[in-house]
Amino acid sequence: MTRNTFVWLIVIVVVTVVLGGASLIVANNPVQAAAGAPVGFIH
Amino acid sequence: MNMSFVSKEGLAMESQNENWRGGWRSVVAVALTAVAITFNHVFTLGSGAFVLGATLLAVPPALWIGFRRTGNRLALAAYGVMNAWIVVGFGVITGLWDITLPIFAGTFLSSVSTAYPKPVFGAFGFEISGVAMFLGSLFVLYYGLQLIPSRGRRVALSGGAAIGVTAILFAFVALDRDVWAPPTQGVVKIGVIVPTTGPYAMLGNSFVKAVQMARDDLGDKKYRYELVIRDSGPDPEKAKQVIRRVVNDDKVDAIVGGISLIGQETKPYATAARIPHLCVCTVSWIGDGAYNFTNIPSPEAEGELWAREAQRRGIKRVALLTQDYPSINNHVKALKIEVARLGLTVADEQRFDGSVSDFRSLIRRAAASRPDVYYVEALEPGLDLLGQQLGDARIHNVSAVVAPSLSDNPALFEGAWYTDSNLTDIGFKRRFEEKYPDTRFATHMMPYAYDSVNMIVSAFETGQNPAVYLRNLRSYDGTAGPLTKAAASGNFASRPAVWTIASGKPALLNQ
Repeated sequence: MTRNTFVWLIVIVVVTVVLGGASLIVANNPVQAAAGAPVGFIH
Repeated sequence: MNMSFVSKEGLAMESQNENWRGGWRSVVAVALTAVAITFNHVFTLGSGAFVLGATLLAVPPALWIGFRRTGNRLALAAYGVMNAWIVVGFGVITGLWDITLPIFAGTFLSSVSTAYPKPVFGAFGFEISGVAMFLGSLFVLYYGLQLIPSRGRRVALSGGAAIGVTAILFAFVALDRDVWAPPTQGVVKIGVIVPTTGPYAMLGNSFVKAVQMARDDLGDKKYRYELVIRDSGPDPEKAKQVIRRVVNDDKVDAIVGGISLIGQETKPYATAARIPHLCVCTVSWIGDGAYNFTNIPSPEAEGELWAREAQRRGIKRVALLTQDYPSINNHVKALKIEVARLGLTVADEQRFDGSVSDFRSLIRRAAASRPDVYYVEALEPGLDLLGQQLGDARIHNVSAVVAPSLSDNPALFEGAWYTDSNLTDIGFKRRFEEKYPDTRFATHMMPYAYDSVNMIVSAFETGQNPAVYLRNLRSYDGTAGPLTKAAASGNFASRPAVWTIASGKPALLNQ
């Protein structure tokens, strides 16, 4: 494995971890800006 | 000497040519980041995002090709400016500050301290493309820096970028924290946003009176409390303008609101202004536990008590006659779960449109199912028409959640039992009716409106940031019984009670 390949491997792992981590956090966060668009609630 | 000079110059030129040849990587990084930027901006700009995307995809390569063909330094400078725009504007300001830091740092900080709000996220695609924008901008920055001939300058700029990102992280940690600030000139402004006109006029006007009564009951306090009362109207779109004015122009320190339809519009404004918003709303997701909190019994609590009371009365079969309306459907949904859990039977279920005025065929079908009780829920005018036609059919074993207390003519439901707020402080209702004899007391909302004002006052009087105070508040002794809130929740829960209509008026049954 060349140094260049190794560096790219690390970069790909970091990008995957960051995007994957963000996806997990956002998908599991109960505080969404809006969960659907309710209409007509009386109270 | 001369040969040596030529050789050095030749080496320098060769190195520079190598840099220029590497320029395509910079162009590719810009193009990929432009795709992420376009996707992200579809959520905010709509189709306008494609104009932005086309600009970012077309202009930088054109400038680079122009520079490579003509050697025009102006084209190179313009290419550098486009890179800086992508890195700073889209990568750092939007991608890092607005999206990536709230996701990672905001989530972590709020999990370790209630002084930090739980971050509020937008659509999944918006958030993830925002992170991709930031990551892409790092590649744009890296390959952009490779185009700088001087190694020393490259290292200096790389170091500066690293220091800048670290400083931004520290700034986020400092600024994301909600801190206590004494009210300006000792005056706390509480915005009161409810519809006082249109179909919600009865509830809205009662709500305003309850809030005014809370303010009048305050007595001597450290700060002066002013109510900024605004009619949101029943239309959520028009309500936005009212809410915006209350938050941005009146600069209120907190908001007390009612009706979920309006509360859902108030929520993002309260979050943006970082002020607490206590909403007497049944839609639980409005209470995010960061700046927005709901304060009213949940449909689940109402359903649980209703089913228990039905069981206690020996009821086995239930006929449901309900209007097709979101909050009513929520009650029915919760009630059916509890009814099934306790082994009762839904003998008949009919849902009708708000325009129905003749209920006779529905009543006949329900009667044929031989129910022990008729569960009815509708909005006016349908509610009273249904009550009248049930009476005409000599049906008096009627029950509901809340509905009879909202009727314009409760006598139509004489003898009916239903669940509603547990008004433990019955004197509250008496004082309200004495103070405002012309205003109807809406049991379902008034105690919570009153308590919500008092919660906000308690926060300021104890010298705490009001949003942090509400996040930490786990129980409150309210006028409608104890209010409780689970850690990190945005919903104050309360237990309803069983009521009946006696002599044409709501009366609390002994529990």
